[in-house]
Amino acid sequence: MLNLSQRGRAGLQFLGSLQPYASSRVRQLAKADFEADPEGAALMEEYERGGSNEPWDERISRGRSVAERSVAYKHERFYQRYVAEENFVRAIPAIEEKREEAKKLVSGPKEDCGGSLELDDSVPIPEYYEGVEWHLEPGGWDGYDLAGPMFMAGIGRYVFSKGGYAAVEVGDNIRNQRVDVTKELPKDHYDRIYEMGCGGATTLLACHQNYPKAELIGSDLSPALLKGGHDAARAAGVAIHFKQRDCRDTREPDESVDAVVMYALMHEMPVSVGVEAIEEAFRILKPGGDLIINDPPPFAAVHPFQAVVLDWDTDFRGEPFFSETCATEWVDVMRDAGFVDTKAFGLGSQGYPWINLGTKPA
Amino acid sequence: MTKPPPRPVTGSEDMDAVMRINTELMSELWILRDRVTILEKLLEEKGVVTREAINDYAPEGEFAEQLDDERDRFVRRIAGAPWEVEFTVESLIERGQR
Repeated sequence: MLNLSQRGRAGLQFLGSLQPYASSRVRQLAKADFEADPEGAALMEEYERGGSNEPWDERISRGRSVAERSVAYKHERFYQRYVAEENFVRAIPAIEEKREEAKKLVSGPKEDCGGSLELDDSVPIPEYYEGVEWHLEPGGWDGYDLAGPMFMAGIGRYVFSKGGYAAVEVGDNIRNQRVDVTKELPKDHYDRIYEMGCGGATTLLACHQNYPKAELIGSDLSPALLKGGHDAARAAGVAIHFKQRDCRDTREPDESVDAVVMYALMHEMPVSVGVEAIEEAFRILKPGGDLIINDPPPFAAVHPFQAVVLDWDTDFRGEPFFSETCATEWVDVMRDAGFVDTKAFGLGSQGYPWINLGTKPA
Repeated sequence: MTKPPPRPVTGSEDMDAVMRINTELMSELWILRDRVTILEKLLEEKGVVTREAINDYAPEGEFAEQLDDERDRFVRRIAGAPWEVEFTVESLIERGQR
């Protein structure tokens, strides 16, 4: 493991203490203020009655004006933004102090274990993807050549591992969550599992844990994330085939995979792209194959205060498609695409991970 | 380039600014405290001075007076900052070094 300097480590550990504190204690105070407010109480009553026909953006706007009256809410949201920025403000210089060591992790020799990496710079970068500083990361997914070590030895290790950001609750183990989510696939065995927008190898390694005999394929638009995933898979000794693809055009043959996984992908794309991705998943699945989508919960499924908290990420945490995704019932989109036996449910106390499952008719 | 938030996070630019300063200070204080804790540990491991000796140390004499003066100046400087906004040459000389 790459060890950071004292300043780098202590600075990130500070964020790893601040975020969970703010997201638990201070957020609880903010939620209590929300519930004590007469307008907040009215929103809760509507939610408990099953919602209303009011458009989501108007309902969230009403909730936001209640939440913003709370001093605790303002503090808690400030700390969320601060940590989201400072993750990179601190981690990038910290890794730069150890650049030579970090480069060895990225470019050092790796043992072949049967996987592959297929990059293709003819895959067009979609307009929606270009220029977005995802999660406030400067330059986006491909902006920093040492992003892998930055997350592994810095942000992931000291901050993300504590939870308390976006839809991830304090104390959630985001690696174990992937194992728990992929375990929800209905069958005991799959021959070929395909992950769209795989990012790195984390979810596919979780699939390997649950389905050790499955052939694993992952695709993504980002060459940096694919390379990082390929390295991680080889380090773990697990054969994964990584391909640079747009999830709407995987180039896999019709009816060629047994399960498709989309893990925390939908909210990184416009809803229209998500719809096309689901249609592509339907095409490449064999009859009887399963689709599992994990993403933050829909607004309809969560407390009105939590809906305001989720919506906030759109404007403040580099998640331009978060709100439109949370306003969508993906299980309905799956049914429209032809999936059957569809269901949607939350695993965590605040609805995350939110799982959508469906099967292609046999 | 990651840009600033589209509007103040707390609803007020002034409040955002104050919270940024405050949180940076909190962070710097922690980083320094982390370093001091490491220093104490290493000094103890190398047999130079124990943590107990630091804990039990009772300043005396001239050193105690020096610490008293520094502490009083520290408090005046920070707690007094909102109030010490008017001054003349005479008031500054009378007050001496903050």
